[in-house]
Amino acid sequence: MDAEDLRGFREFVDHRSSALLTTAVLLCGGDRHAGEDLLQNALVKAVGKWRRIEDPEAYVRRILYRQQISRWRLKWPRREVSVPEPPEGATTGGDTESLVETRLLMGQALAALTDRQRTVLVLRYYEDLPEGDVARLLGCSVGTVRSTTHRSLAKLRTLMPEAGDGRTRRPATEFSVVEVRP
Amino acid sequence: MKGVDDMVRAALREQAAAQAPAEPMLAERVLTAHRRRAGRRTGVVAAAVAAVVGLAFWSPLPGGSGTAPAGEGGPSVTEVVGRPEQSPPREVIAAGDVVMAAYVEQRTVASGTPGRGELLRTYWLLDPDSQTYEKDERWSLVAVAPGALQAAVLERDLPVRRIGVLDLRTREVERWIELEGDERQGVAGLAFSRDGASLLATTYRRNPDSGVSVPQEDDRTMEQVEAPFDSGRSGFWVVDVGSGRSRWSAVEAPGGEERDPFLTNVRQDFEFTHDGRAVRAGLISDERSEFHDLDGAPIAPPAGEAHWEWSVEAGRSPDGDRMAGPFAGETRKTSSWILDARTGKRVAEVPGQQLLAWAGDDSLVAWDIDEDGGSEFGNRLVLVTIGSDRTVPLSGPRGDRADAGGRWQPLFVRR
Repeated sequence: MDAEDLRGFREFVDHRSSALLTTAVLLCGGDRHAGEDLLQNALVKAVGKWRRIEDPEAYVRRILYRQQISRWRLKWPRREVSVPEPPEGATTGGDTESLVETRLLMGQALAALTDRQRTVLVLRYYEDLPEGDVARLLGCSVGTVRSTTHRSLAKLRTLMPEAGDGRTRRPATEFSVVEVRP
Repeated sequence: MKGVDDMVRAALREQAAAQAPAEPMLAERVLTAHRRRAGRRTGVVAAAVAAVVGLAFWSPLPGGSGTAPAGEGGPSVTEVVGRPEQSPPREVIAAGDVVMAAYVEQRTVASGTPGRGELLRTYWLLDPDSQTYEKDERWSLVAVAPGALQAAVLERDLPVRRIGVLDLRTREVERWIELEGDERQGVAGLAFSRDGASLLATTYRRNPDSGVSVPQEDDRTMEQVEAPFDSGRSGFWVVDVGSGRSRWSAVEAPGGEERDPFLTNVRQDFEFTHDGRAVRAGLISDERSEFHDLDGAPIAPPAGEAHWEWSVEAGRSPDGDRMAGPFAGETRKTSSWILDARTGKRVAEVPGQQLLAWAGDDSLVAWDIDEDGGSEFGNRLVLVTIGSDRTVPLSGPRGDRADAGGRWQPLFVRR
């Protein structure tokens, strides 16, 4: 990297790293440290090819998504991410309180999805990308994106049967899951 | 009333809004990490080039992958990423639950003893980010872990005393698992358990790759049959990959005290059984296979293991109900049997010369001839489905000679 490349890279990181980190954290189910690791790895990859990359943001995002869906999904002793127990009960309370709690629980339910499921939902519902773009980014078929979205939403409904009916209940299962990841 | 998709959208935006900005020194941290990795890599490349002249290392290739659905559609569509025009493949091949995590080419070099040679392997490992295969010549043996992000590696000059845990993204050994012991306990074989948590490392007294028979120019009559090279297989280490804890168990050679080298191949590695609670290896005898508990003691075949065909790589189906069987060739020129794992009864005949990996409970990756009636050795990777005659090509055809150099062999793992 020459001086101009270095300047360009630093400018890119200064301007875009907060937005990229936000995406990375969402991909990691809200785990800030895992998101920072994910982003740093993607940026290290990008530095090595900086001169050849035409659109750095698109490149780094693609690496983020692909790294995340291909992450080690089995036991590997690096870091444990524990999903906290949600607050007890809370079927009472006003609408606002109920809504806030439902969203909190939804955040936790998202963390309980697989990396692949969560990545598809982040791309569809946070980045607002059409199915075709998601398929291209993840290197899979549109049918796979569709079926993964469908299965992910179905799993969220199972975890949070109250989603959509305005009532808030404690999820029956899975929130004490401890996921081990790099 | 809101739908679950609206709730997801709102929860993600809320989570996003709550994020603090990235740390100000991130760019410097990344640049430092990059320099450190590049420095280490340069060192490795220099060493490799000194040893083997003229070979490219980590040559970058463009990424990207095309995908196509296989099967008749419906809820159990198998996702297939095939490269029917590539042999050996440059870009990722995947089908259903499995991905081709690497491929290997083998060649035999003279070992100094007449009639014997040494088998050398060269691996091309899948880069998880670029989704391309990149050559890595440092290792004599590589076992890729499920997930295809990490691998266990053995250095050259087997048997060795340590196992490397290789990060496939950075191509760096993130740690070494050191194995102490005497001359019986050097490692030359590696296999992961299905959950990736444990490694089974087969131990040999001598390098099992150094006893390969090579034809000699004056050896026309084949009258002299030498005793095979005795690699001195001695037992296995069970290694907990996470903690690095390991325990060695001796395994008595087949045939007992009167060691009979004709009963096993020079290299006959142990592997875990389907549930990981026992160990199995092939035999060149009517018994066909041997089983041991994790302490090395001989046991009867565990349930569902008795019909294991060690020469058929695919083994048992993910649900454990079926066993990939031997060549059939009844309804077509090239086909293989699928067995009931418990009874051994033939339950199906599927296309394919050789079954390599289960892509799901009903589909497998296999070698098959290019077209029915083609040359036996001009085969390509295909996806086959139980109950269907249809095959989906996954790679281009290999060369059509059995001994042709550069005949690559795939290594599939669960993705």
